[in-house]
Amino acid sequence: MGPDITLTRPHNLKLYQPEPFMMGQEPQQPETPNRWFALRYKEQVEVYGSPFLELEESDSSAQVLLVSINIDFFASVLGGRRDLGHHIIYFEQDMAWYYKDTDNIFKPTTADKLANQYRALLMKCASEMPANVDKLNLFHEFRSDKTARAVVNRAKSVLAASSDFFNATSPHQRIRGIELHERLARKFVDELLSADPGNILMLQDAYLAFSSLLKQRELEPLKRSDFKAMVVPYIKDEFNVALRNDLVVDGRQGVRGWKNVALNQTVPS
Amino acid sequence: MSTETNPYLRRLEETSEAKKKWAESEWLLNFLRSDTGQKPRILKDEELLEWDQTLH
Repeated sequence: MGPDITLTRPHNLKLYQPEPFMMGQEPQQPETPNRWFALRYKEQVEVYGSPFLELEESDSSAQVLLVSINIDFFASVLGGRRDLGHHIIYFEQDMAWYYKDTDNIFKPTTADKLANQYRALLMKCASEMPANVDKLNLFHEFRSDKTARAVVNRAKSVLAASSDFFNATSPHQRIRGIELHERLARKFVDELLSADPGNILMLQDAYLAFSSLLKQRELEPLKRSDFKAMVVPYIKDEFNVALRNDLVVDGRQGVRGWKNVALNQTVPS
Repeated sequence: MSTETNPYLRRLEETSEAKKKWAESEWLLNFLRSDTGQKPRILKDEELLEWDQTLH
């Protein structure tokens, strides 16, 4: 079968078409690569179209040849299967890839690993195809480094997440991000501090308590200046008090801290 | 007795479906994890069904 067939018999070129659903009929084992991917990545087919352009021989051999690949479709495939709870994003701000693990925390991954997954999917598809499907392109050409790179590169725009994706107030949580500190700082103010008229909470005490929380959660230590920058607005919002530099504690003057706020002794979970 | 009326058979069917999904999910995620050599996690039936419920 040569490339001229695509020119002389264009009616044999097929895009994926959903099978009409028959009542009481069991879903059949997919017999073409298009159907194989459409069964697993239905949403992506709806948005980006047919995974492949297939050439189907109308003679008795019923041979199926993959003529071309839809890079956009496969870029969106890397975004993951929502029916399995998967979610992969490209976080442009950090130029980094993240995937959501089974503990619902986004963890970093790499372009090379995504390319590995892409190639593995094509291989799995090839191994489950019947004999009439020509597997050369599926096995070789579409799994080449060049095509894999093109897919992963396209995925950067298809799967780009906005800069507020991991914000402290967003439902998405990632490992090893500054947001973890921000979340903890918010929790610290909400759950560990309380209004206490006449009491003074020293910045140093607050910082030590927060540092022990970080240690307990195996998070990176935070500089005192960063801690201060993080909690000052939260404390202002919660208790309507500003950080002062002129407090007097046990005869010491010029102590930094907050008036009318106290540190509870219980540690948030 | 069909799976519709027999709760034991229904649970067996649900567990078997959840196992298939979990295996597929782990296969895909393992390509992205840092430690790709790790063994796939095996869940107890209750955990599997609980995980499957979170997907709906």
